Amino acid sequence: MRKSKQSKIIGKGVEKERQELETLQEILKKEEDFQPPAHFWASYLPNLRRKMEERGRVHLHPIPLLAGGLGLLIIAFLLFRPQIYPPNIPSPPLKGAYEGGELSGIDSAAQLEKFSTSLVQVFRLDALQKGVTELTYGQVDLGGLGKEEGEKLLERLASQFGDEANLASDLLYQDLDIDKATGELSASELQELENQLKGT
Amino acid sequence: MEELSDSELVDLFRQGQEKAFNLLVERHKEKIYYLALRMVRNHQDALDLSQEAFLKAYKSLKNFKGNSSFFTWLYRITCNLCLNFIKREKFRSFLSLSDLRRPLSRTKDSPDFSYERNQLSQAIDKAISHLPPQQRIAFVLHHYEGLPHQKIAQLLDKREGTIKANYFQAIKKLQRTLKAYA
Repeated sequence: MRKSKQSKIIGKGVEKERQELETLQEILKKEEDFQPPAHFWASYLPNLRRKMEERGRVHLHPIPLLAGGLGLLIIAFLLFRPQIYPPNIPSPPLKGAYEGGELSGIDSAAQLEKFSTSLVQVFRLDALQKGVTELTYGQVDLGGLGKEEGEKLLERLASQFGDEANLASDLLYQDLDIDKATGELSASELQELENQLKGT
Repeated sequence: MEELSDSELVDLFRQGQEKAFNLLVERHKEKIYYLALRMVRNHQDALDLSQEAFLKAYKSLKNFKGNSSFFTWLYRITCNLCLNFIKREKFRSFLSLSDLRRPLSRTKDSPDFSYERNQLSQAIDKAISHLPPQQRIAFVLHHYEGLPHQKIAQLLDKREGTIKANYFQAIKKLQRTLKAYA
């Protein structure tokens, strides 16, 4: 008797899921197709070829190469030089502010740059990553920082890391993996959900 | 030359025949463009990303090992470029506190591109644009491209269970967001 009741409840749940999925599919079916203008396809290959030629023409001259090399050396030195402070001794005031989870003392672009540089110098790369992650997740109060300062922070961090796109995005999304968000659903649970959606 | 297979064209290109690459572009440009378009929901960005994919392929084709077909390889390059692009855009929009990407209907970057999508299509663009990258790609590849979860997992080098979870979450979010249009 009880089992039958449970089956009915589960059946209702599955039916509801199925209806919702069908409704969504109906909505998505109504989406208009997007067609680029007719001349778009005709100019696609010529545009691509032009880009290829432009990139092929880019040659690095010795002076920029030398400057770039020196820049890389300086960054490498800043990132990998021996740690000045032993790990367990909290010394600079920045550390306290940082661990407190707030950047309330930073209210100008200059201070922001100083903070960013200090993160690299004092806490080395791993701490900077933590800092970026916390900033990214909004765990650190950005206080009165406006758009300009925010952009400056991004540029600053990007220049110190060298690879803005990958680092920033990895940091931003590494904890948003759906497995973690849903509490590690097992493969069988996922399969069950999938089956429910399909109504099988 | 037009009747040759992709792998034969790749071989010809490696032997120095540039025209073979043109044929590969002509053959796959639409699929690659529409994949990028469905991912980034913006014509100009989709154009740039699809061309970037071909540029990368052009540069790396000499080292292409042929473990998969040329198209699969190109498809994977495009997926990765789109993912990186979306992640970067989200990160930028977070810091600049601006909204996400401009919708498909915006014509600022291409004045002759006067196609206006209806309200529902714009709502779908917006809803998909707000999905996290992994959920978005799982949804796009399954719903629009019709790829099975297993194939998507192979393509993105992820577990099948992860892809299913991403897809499931994407569906749930879209259901919530587009509820008003039911």
